[in-house]
Amino acid sequence: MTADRHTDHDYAAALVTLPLMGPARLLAVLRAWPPDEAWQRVLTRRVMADGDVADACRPDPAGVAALWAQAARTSDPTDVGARHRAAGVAVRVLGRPGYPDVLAEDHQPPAVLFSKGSLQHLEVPRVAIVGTRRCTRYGHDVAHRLGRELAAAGVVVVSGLAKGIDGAAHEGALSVGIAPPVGVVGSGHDVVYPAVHRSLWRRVAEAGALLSEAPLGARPEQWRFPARNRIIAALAQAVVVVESHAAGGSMHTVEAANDRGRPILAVPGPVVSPASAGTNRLIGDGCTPALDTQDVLVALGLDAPAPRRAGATQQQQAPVAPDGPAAAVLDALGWAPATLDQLLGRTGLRPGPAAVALAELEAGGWVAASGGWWERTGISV
Amino acid sequence: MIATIPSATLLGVDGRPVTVEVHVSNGLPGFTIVGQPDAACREARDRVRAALLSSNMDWPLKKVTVNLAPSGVRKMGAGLDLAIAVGLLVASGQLDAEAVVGHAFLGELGLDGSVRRVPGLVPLVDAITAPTVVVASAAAREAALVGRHIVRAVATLTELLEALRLLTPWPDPPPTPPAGPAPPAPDLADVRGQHLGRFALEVAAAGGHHLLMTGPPGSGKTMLAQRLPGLLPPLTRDEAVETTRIHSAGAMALDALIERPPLRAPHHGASAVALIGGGHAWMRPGEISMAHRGVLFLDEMGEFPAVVLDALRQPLEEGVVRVCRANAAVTFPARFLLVGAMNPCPCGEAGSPGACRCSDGARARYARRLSGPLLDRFDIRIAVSRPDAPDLLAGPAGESSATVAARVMAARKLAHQRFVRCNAELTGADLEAATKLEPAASRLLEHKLRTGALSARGLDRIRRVARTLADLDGGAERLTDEHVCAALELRSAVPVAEAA
Repeated sequence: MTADRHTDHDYAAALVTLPLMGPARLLAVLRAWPPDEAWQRVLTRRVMADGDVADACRPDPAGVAALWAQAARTSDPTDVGARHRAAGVAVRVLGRPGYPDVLAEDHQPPAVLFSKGSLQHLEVPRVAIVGTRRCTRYGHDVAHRLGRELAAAGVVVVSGLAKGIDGAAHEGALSVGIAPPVGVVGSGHDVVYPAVHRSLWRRVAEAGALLSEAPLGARPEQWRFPARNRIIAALAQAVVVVESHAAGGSMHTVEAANDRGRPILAVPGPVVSPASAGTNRLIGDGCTPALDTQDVLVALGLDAPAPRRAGATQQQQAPVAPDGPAAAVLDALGWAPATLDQLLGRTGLRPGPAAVALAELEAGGWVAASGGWWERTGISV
Repeated sequence: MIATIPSATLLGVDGRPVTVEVHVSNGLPGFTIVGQPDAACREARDRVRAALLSSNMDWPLKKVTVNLAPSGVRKMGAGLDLAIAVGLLVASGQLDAEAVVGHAFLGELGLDGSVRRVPGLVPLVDAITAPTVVVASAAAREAALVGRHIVRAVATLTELLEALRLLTPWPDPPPTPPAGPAPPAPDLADVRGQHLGRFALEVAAAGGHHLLMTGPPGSGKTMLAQRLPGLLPPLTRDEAVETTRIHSAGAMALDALIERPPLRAPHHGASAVALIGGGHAWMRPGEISMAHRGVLFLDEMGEFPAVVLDALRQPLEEGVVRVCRANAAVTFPARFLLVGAMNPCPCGEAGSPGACRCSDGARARYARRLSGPLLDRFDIRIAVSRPDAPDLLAGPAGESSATVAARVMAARKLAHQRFVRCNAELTGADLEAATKLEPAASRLLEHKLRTGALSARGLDRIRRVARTLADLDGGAERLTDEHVCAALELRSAVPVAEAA
């Protein structure tokens, strides 16, 4: 029985590694036949006998079948399975035990899922926090706070482990040990992308779960990310977009969530900020604005809408408000990134006092600098 | 018969005296030049012959030998033509030897007998010990800049001979064109906004600190750089003579001493030799020497080849550049203020968070075009941003160059009291003594050092800039936290994530 299950999963994993095998084709193949039979048919080029498979392989089913047969002859399913087991990656096949129910119910489920960590985390309420890789300090801080506060409220944060908003949300969720986050990535488990998130990948996999539709060794090719985004949308019960450019990749996730009827929330930003152009547009189109964690909990049905406390979204970390030149500099900075030159122009301060004021504000956690740009921190982290 | 005529040739930015010896004797007619002439110099034979014939002189049908002494120095260019022609006339008996005593000759001959100017006249004339120097009329003013000689200017060989034979008086030098008002130097008052940029210029000028500006296209980097020479103190007499010699050797046609610090802005296509100096026969001063005592502005610094930029490091440190070739080694002065400008990233949004479309990798690749050691030479690194609209339209005009230059001058005087020209030259114990810290400033730097935000080398640079800031503030003996904070800010726009 156990050996039998292994073989079945080995065949499924081997099917994923075939060239030109996208999510739609894989789903068609595995809906038509069980994995072992599908593999035999691939080897003998009888895989196009099913109309749905041939449809998925348009425009050249015969060519695809030939390519698959050629690749399959040099591939050993047992070996593919063994490599995944050795790497600690579980292979989960649609319709078999161990496959998450929430994805099985989806209309575009990944036919094979590679996972690290425990899928028990998918049993609790889940929220996707997504956004641009090129975020501002404000977006980073808001994503971090949402991740932290949602995790503290027992909500699992689902995101894509990319740079920017995704990474900040994961970090925030990891910083409290209550509901560990779930990451959905576009490349194979052994191809860490972006490389700077190596430690974050490991920590998410250890504390929560790391999912991928791609087998070991799969490069982060561009087409994988929209496909990855549909899994995030399918997993989450609500999607929060923290910052997105007008035509950013987060909009794929929003579309996918829309298809599935998931509530979408967007964090408003300054109208002059390109990084908030997409989210502000979403709010204009009727999305619920996410002003704080409670808004997200309400969307999940975990909390009743409460009258908003006056000043609830104001600076909460301020033990002592800055005064003197520091206050003037903070006012002049506003919520868009600015250079020292712009701050001097707006405040009329001389460079010496302005530099002292910025140093004070930085020490107090009010502002942060990167590459010559000053930004106001959203929330103290 | 033999004639001996003094002249000079150019090596780097220095003139070397050359004695032209012409020997005419019976034998198979022929003409030989010996004593390391280069190709242009060897061709003198054809020019001199045609010029003599055009001027109704005789070409001796005898054996002529021209020796250029000392033979160890390579003779460059056509500047010895005139001396060879005069020597030939004396040696062949067409001109009295007495007539040329005490005269040196510097000029190229045309086939029609006209006399042309030669490059590098200031160092050439400077090398001549004879009391009288004869040059082309076009070059009379440049030759007179040295001021030690009687300068005679002639337009043709005929004119020269008649004057030497005392048949006519020496021709008057061409009249000096009426000195119109000098074209106004670009003034700092024209710059709107750019509060940080103006401040950085002032500090760079006062302390002699190299300045790197990063900013998007159209933010005003070039406009700022062009105004830096106007803030520097005018050259002293000695510096002016030195600068004038270099520019003359660099083949610039000069009419007067260079009294303002020069600005050189070579295009990024410049080769290493063009920038550093050298060349094959003619060891020419490069752009960095032409910028001696002034400003070298490298726009689009990231576009210069890395080899060319790294060649700047040694001259930046030593103030001179030694160029060695197989047959000569030359030292060029090169003490300049380096101003670099570059875009922070390929998209031009200057890495503005959320707006810049470049990946971290693309930005890092762009920034890596400046090597760490070169980047480290810049005491001041600022981000220049496009000015806010109100500054451009309605902002008050800024201070004029003259106002700022006065403060710069005062700060430089304080540096002179520390026995350096400017604070950027402070090192070791002198730097230690000149940059005592207030307790608050000391705590701040300790914190930066402990957190690794500052290296020991970076610390020295921060202290130098802070010293300049204090000097501009009136020269308090101890540096305050304000000076240190501002110095740190002036070094914060680092294109790469490297330790300051």
